[in-house]
This record gives sequence, structure tokens and C-alpha cells, in this order.
Amino acid sequence: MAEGHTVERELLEILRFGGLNKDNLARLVKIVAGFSDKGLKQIKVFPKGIPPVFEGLELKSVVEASQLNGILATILKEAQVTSVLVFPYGIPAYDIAEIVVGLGPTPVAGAAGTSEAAE
Amino acid sequence: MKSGSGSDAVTGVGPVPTPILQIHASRKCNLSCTHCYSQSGPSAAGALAIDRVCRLIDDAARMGYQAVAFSGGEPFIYPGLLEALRRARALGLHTTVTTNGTLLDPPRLEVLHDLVSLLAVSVDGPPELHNEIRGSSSAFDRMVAGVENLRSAGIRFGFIHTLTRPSWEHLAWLADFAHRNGASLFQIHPLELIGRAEQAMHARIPDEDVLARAYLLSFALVAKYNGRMKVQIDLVHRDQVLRNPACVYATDFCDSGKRAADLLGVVVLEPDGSMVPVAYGFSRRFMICDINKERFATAWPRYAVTDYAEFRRLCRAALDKISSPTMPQLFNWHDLIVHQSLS
Repeated sequence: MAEGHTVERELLEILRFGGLNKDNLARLVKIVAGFSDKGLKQIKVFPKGIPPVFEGLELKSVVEASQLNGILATILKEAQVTSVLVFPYGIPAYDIAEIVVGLGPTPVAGAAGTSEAAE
Repeated sequence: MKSGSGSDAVTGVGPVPTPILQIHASRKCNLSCTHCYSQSGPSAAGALAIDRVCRLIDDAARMGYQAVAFSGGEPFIYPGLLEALRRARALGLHTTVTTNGTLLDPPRLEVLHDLVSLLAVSVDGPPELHNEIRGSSSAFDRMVAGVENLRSAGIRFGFIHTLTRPSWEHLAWLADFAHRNGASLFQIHPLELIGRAEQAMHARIPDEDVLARAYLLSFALVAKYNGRMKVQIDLVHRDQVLRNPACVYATDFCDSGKRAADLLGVVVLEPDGSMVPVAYGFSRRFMICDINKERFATAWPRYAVTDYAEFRRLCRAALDKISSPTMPQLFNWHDLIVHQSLS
């Protein structure tokens, strides 16, 4: 990540200039709200891809083992989900897991030029 | 109403986990902000008698309320603030004060130290935007000076930001400002079109697009400051409400044996003495009592039997509206129900 840039500032750039249309924005909000309601805490929303070319968005969160099946069932119903990675933590049986959910592709035409223009 | 962006789960009836009495004892303020829901300012007259406010606090504590939130006007101009805070603390209530931060001098803060659980300081944006909304070229600097005094006094504080159309892009800056200054809370509250804002701020009301962007950013901020500063955005998603209608009083209820705090999570005292449910500006059709004429504890049994059901019907009607596919997906429920009550 470029010096001086943070996750939220990268996210701000894509929200300002990333070309997210109204429908995609609404779908993303619905998904995030649904995950939050299911008990996912500390949901991190990242632009996906190498700046300045963004390919979509990623959500990361940590869930308890007991929640995982229910949350996966919710996640996999969403048409915008393109990938799901689960990293269990805990030995010998995992008690928490990190979930990384890929969303997109979201239209990001013009992100490169407009991001540089905004610098 | 707290959203799902890292805030506590909503339990019980109504959208707040802790039953709270909000007190707006006066509309007197040293500023005249363009977004003020109570149209407060230097020329506003009158303040509620402190003995009546203290009686209300006594009643609220007996009726199950656990917190008192002081606002106004500018609470530090209200002569009875300290006495009211002392009464609340003596009863074991959690206390918060929302202030513009310009009157936080050391002598004032010294007596506050054990009386306030959290002081919420309003901030509208970076200096230029803040001063423009506050109508004062020195408001931001005075607020920062007040916050420095707060830190020195060791009083726990947070910042509350009124989200407007131009301010959403500054949320990362604002959160950073809050954290750098030692805040334990950064609260984002969407502008409500009531009071002075109704005339002066139409062009700045955040639309669906801005609310969506602010909502997503708030999750990033919650994660960034996790364990160091709580970040909260006062928005709820339509799906959350539809899955849990009890959180907006939209289910069948049984009031038998229930205290006021079990039936109404928020009660509001307005500067004219009116007690209303849920939020400032609620229609007087649903008024509980006028504390200048009748005690809250005396009025409540009657209200619970006659008018409370009407309030619940209003909330169910609001839920029908929320479930419409044309309804925005993100909203502040308190703002929505106030407008519903006035329609």
C-alpha cells in the first residue's frame, strides 16, 4: 500500500472515484449489513486488486467456529460473491476462523485516472 | 439507533439496549448552528426549573431508566446542569452530556469529573466546514481547546459528527482527529431535517448514495480502531429491522407488569416541559405529560393504558412503510418515526 495510504483511505478512493453504481453500492451495503446481523464482527472492507486498478471488493472478518456453517450458508446465497476463503485458527480443533469473501466484479472504469487526478 | 457496524446487539423492546432519559432543559446556546434540531441560540429564552428536572430524574430512575443524557441548547449554559447531574449520579444512573465544546474551561471541568460518564463533543467536519455550520469562525479552535482541557481533566469523552452530504468524504479524517485527541467514541449521526435544518440544510441532507458510502466506510473505521476507540453510525439496514421488528416496537406487546423503561426505551424531555417518546420533535399527539403540570410517574399509568397502544400502532405503520421496496435500505429509525408521527 502506498505510503500515507491506509485501508480506509483506499476504500474512500474507490467509494469516491471507483465507479460503483447505485445498484452495486446497494448490493454491497445489503451484504455487509447481512453479515453484521449474522454476528460477524470487525468486518473489513478492502478494495481488491493492485492499486490503481481495482478489481472488486473483499470483506474480511473473524467468526467463531460455532457460527461458521450458518454464516457460510448466508454468504453463498449472495450472487455477488465470487470467492470464499476460510482460515481456521486453533489447535487441535479450531475455535475461530478468518473468512475472506470476494465480491465483484464491481465496475471500476476510470479509477486509475481519477485516483491520480485526485492526488 | 445503533447499526450493525460493530455496535452492541440490540436486545429487548425498542432500539436501545439501555433505557435512557434525554433531557433538553433549555434552548439557550452560545452558538446558532444551521443544523440545530432544537433551533437553539443566544436569543432563545427560558429554561426548565431545576426542581422539576430533578423530580423527573427521580421518577425515571424508579421507572427503570438507567441513563440520563443532557443536551439542549448548550447544556453548560443551563444553570441546573450540575445539580441535575449530581441527582442522577446519586441514583446510580449513567450520565452523558452533549456539548459544542466551546465552554469547557478547567474550573467547569474540575467539578464535572465524577458526575459525567461520557462527554460528547460535536464536530461537523474539518475546521472550515465545522465553522461554517456552527456560524462562527472560531468554533473549531475553541472546541479543540476545550478538548485539550477535557484530556487534562481526565474526563472520558467522545465526538459526535452530524453526517451531511459534503462531510462523508471527511469521515476518515474525522475518525483520525477523534482518535488523535483521545476520544473513546466516534459517533456518526445523519443529519435530520428538523428544526433549523429543515429551512437551511435541504441541499446537504445525505442521500441514499452518501449514506451507503458512509455506512461502508464506518465498517473500515470500526475495524481500524478496534479496541482503541468505538466507532458507531446511527443507521440501520431495512433487512435488520424486518428480521427483528421488536427493535422498532412493531410487534404485539403485553404491558402487564412492565415498567415504563421496559415499554419505552427512550423518553425525551423537551425545553417546554413536554415528555415525548423516542426522539426530540415527536408529535405532541403522543405526549406523555407536561412536567410543569404533572409528574412523569403520575402520568405514566394513564399513558400506558390509553396512548401507548397508539404509539405501537404508529410503529407498526412505520414498519409497513419500511418493508416497501421503494423505501431506502439505510435509514435512521428515530428520524423516520418522528416524521411518521408528524404526518
